[in-house]
Amino acid sequence: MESLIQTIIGGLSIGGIYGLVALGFTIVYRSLYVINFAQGDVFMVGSFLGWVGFSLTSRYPVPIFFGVLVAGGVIAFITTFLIYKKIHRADHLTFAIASIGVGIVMQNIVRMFSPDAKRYPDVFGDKVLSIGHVYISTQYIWILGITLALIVLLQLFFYKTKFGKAMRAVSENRDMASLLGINVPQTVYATFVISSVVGAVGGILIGPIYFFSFDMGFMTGLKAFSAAILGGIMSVPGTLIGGFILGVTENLGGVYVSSDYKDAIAFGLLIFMLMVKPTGLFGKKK
Amino acid sequence: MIRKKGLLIALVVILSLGMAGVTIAADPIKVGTLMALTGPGAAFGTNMLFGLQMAIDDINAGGGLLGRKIEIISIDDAAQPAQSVSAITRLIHQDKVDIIIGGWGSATVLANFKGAEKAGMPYIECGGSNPRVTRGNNNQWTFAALQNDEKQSKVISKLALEMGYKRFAILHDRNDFGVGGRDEFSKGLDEYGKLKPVVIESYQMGDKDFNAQLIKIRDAKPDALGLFGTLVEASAIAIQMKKLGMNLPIFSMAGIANVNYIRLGGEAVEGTILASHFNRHLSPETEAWAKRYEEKFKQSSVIADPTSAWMSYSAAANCFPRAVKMAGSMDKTKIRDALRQVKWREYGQDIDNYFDKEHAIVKETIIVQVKNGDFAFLKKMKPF
Repeated sequence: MESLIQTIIGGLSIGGIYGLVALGFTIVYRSLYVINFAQGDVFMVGSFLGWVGFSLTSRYPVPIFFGVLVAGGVIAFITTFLIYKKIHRADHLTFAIASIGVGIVMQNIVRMFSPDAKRYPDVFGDKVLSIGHVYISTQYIWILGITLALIVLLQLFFYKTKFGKAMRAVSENRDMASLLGINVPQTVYATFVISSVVGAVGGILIGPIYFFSFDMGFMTGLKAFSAAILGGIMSVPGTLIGGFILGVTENLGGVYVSSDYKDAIAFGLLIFMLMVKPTGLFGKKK
Repeated sequence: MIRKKGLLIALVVILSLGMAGVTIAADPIKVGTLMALTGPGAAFGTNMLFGLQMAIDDINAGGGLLGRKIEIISIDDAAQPAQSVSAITRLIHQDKVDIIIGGWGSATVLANFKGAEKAGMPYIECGGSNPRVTRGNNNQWTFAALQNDEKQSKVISKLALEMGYKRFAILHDRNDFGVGGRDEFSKGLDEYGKLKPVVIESYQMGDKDFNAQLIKIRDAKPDALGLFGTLVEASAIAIQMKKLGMNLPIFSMAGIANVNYIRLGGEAVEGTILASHFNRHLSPETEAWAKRYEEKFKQSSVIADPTSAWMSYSAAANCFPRAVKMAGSMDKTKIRDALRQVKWREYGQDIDNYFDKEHAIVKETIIVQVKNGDFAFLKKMKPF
């Protein structure tokens, strides 16, 4: 029984990370109806910047954390300015391929600075709480906490702030929004900046557990994409729940079915979802 | 008239000898090498290249071999078997090297050594420890300078049994290195202790989350863990084990005897016992060599790790020059025949190293243990 609880807790934590990265996919898709395949590598860049920051000093975790987010936002801004703003109205395939290219460029730039894996200092503490034989690392608690806080903030932003509402209006009917005076290009920038910042948060949270390496974005990006499809790529809370479901199912499958086929189980879920309900568990039809 | 002619002839002879000497000496000996310089094996591969460079620099400083300088031609194969096969083909047919010293990763070497065999190229591999590199192949050109997993696992299983452990868990990478370790360690447990492992789990190189496997291992209640994989995953496994409250002693092999295992794993890897190929604390000469190595390569972005560099350094500095001297030329067949007979002593070891009939190296195994953030020398075990 305790192993079951342990498995579920581990699944929720990794699921939280999948959810955060998946949010990036969701935010971009909801607003612009394109898939940004560089999302996994944005997550990796966030992790890298976090490693750089925390290696310089472990004494100011909070400013460094926000510093990384700002840096991630700036990189997103530059990428949008140079690339995304010109092609986001093109067809899906064009954008998808271009974003894969952006991802590869990011990977190789980081690879020049760091060809091998790097250890993160334990910025979230290394204590392990135990309830019987169930062990919960404080790391995992931070991941869950920050992920949930982010969801709340994002929902507040999209539903309670003027700019958030403007972004939703643009996604609903772009031309009408423009006619009504909404600065559409600004929302395009905001979309990419927010999705990148969210991905970067995921990268920092996962650093102390899984190390940083330049190729960490690939698999995580794919699984996050699956999570977004699973939960519904049009729904912010749905995406996060999709992440949790993916993480827990993957872990349960790994322990009770076979650890060899863990990845197959995760992607099998994706295929199943696409066949049965492509809009996802919480998705609404466009 | 005769005297002038004689003088002229003598002059021509001397000049042509001199020119011939100049031509021969100007032609460098080409040593080809290939290893992972990027990707998961980069920590090992880069150090392996540095070790080779140091040995060749030392030889060149002493005048080279056969009056010729030595030049290294290196190719990054990212430890990908397919890429490695192209790399060795390039070294053999395009760069036309005289000998290949290098190769990292069991899967990679198992793929690329066939290229050397087919082409008749002497190849001293320093980084593939799977016994299948030499076992049963009737190798004509490939020599394994690295003590293979079969020998290392036997040694480590014997040691673990001597230390009193009875319930062994095995966690291994699904690649050739991990599977080889699992098989040989299990064989050793059976042969020396009549024991079977209580649980065997596996993972894929590149995996980050090992909770599923570790929970299953925890449920089987082992008292020791045989861990067979490469260092990034091994460190992550050690850390995640601690986070699950598991305090198992870890036994492993040279695959993770690299300073990055400790750097990445931190506290969690203290106490790990490894069969290795080298330890700087073995003797004053090993310590001096390690210091010289670290000094020479301290500017690199990859951490200088003497243990990872030793394998290629020793092959290039101890074995290779002796073989060339014995052969008297760079003729590949003569070099190969010399390699079959050559013997050399490494710093701090009590017996000579040499290649057995299957071209596998025979040497003492160095057992080390992670203590206080360093690899402490535990004991030497002679081949048995």
